[in-house]
This record gives sequence, C-alpha cells and structure tokens, in this order.
Amino acid sequence: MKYIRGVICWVLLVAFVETITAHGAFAVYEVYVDSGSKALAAYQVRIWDEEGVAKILSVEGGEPPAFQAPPFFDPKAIQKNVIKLAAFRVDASEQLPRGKVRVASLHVEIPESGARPRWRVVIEAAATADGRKIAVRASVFKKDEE
Amino acid sequence: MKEENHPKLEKALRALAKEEIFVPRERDERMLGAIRAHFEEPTAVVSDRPRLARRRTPSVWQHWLPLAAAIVIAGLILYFARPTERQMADLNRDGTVDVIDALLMAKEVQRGKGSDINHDQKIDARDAEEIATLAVRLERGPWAEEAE
Repeated sequence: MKYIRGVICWVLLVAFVETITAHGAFAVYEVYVDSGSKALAAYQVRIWDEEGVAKILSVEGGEPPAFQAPPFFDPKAIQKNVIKLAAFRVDASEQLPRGKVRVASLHVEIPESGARPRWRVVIEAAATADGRKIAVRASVFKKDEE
Repeated sequence: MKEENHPKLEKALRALAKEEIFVPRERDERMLGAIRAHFEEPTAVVSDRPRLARRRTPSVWQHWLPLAAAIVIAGLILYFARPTERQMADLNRDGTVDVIDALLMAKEVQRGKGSDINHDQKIDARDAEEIATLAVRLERGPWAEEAE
C-alpha cells in the first residue's frame, strides 16, 4: 500500500512539473533610472531582450509617487521582446524623484525552460522639471535580484 | 591651317571666288517663286483681311486655364508646406518627438497655451499624452524589425 501511494505521489509530482515547464516561466523585471542629484521629470527608454527568449506580458508603474502610474508604451510590444517606455510629470522639482528609482516593472513570460533573457536598455530621453535634457543611467534587474 | 599643308585646296578656293557663275533670269525667278510659295501663309491666299484680324481669338478655357493652374499649384504648395503632426509635436525642435516634447506640451497646457495635437478641437492634457504615445511607437525605428 505504501509503495502504491509513493508511486501516485511521484506521478503527480512529475505531472505538476511537466505542466509548469510546458507553460514556461513567468518573471518580473524592474526598470531603474538613476538621475543622480537632478530631479527626474521625464524619461524614455527602449528595452529589449538580446536573447529573444522573453515575451513581454504587461507593464506596471514604478515606486516613487511621480511614476506610480504605468508608463506610456506601445500595445504592440506585448508578446514581443522589445518595448519603449516613457513617462513624464509636470510636478515641481521638489516632488520629483532623484537618484536611482524604480520607474516601471515588466511582467514577462519565458516560454523556453531554462532560458534567461539578457536585457539591454537605451535611454532615449530624460529631462528635469523645466524640460532640460539630463544624462541618466538606466538598468533592468529581475525582481529581488538587484 | 597653314598654306603649305593644303596648297591645292587653297588654290582651288581662290579660283572659285574669282569665277562668275551665270544663273539665267528665268531660273532665278522660278526659284524665288518657289521659295515664296513655300513660306507664304496659306490664309494669305484666301483672305484679304489685315494680318492682325486673321489671328484667332482665344477660347474661354485658354483664357482661364493658366489662372486655374496657378490656383492649383498655390493650393498644393500650401498643403505640403503645412506643418505635419510630427513637426507640431517636436516642441523643442531637436528633430525627434520624444517624452520631453510631451513634458513641454503638458507645461504649455498648464499655462493655457499649447496646440491641438490629437485634433479633438481641444487643447488639454490629452495632447501631451498623444505626443508621449507617438514617442513610444515601435514602428518609428529599426527596432521594429527586431520585435518581429
């Protein structure tokens, strides 16, 4: 009887693992922008997976109050491995974030088991509250891996 | 051309200039008559009216066609000289429509200015959002192929 129960558990475990891997893995990648000492009023980044293994499912807003709303993006980027994100705020400088902040999160699917996306980020534009262009740095990290 | 190179030719040409060619008067007149008949206007034979009166008066379409063409050309120039949506959206005139233009438009709207980018007959925050939407479109760069 013990033997039969063990076999059933093993079969169920294998079936569960198979189901999970057949549907691929899901992950969340966080997008950070570092504006240094300057107040970040607007940013625009292009992000793509060089490996081409990730499919973008949805986009979430960031952490600071100014960028909590989901950024602008082209809906055509969904189910693809490339996206452009942009957001802007007309708030006063004091209310805008400075330094390294999470501005958005990407929810992605990685259909291939064991595959790992390699994200590249290009900053297309960033500005302070008065619309002056500023140099910023951007990066993408897997959630809880930063 | 030097004389020593073509002495025979020079001699022959000089002799030709001195030689008188006789053309009979009848042949000369016949030739002149044929030339006149060839170049004479055909209407001159059938009409005795003065030359100016024989000119055809221009028809209506000949009169108005140049004006109509000028109007059409002016219209086309005006149409193509209109600022495009992209030109209107490029507020900082840096040649690209990006989120900074959206930010500048939002600030303009706050001040009660701005332009109707989305053509909804209103100038509001949606015009700034329209610029941001334009800025993130994937078709606008070589990465569009990467995404396919």
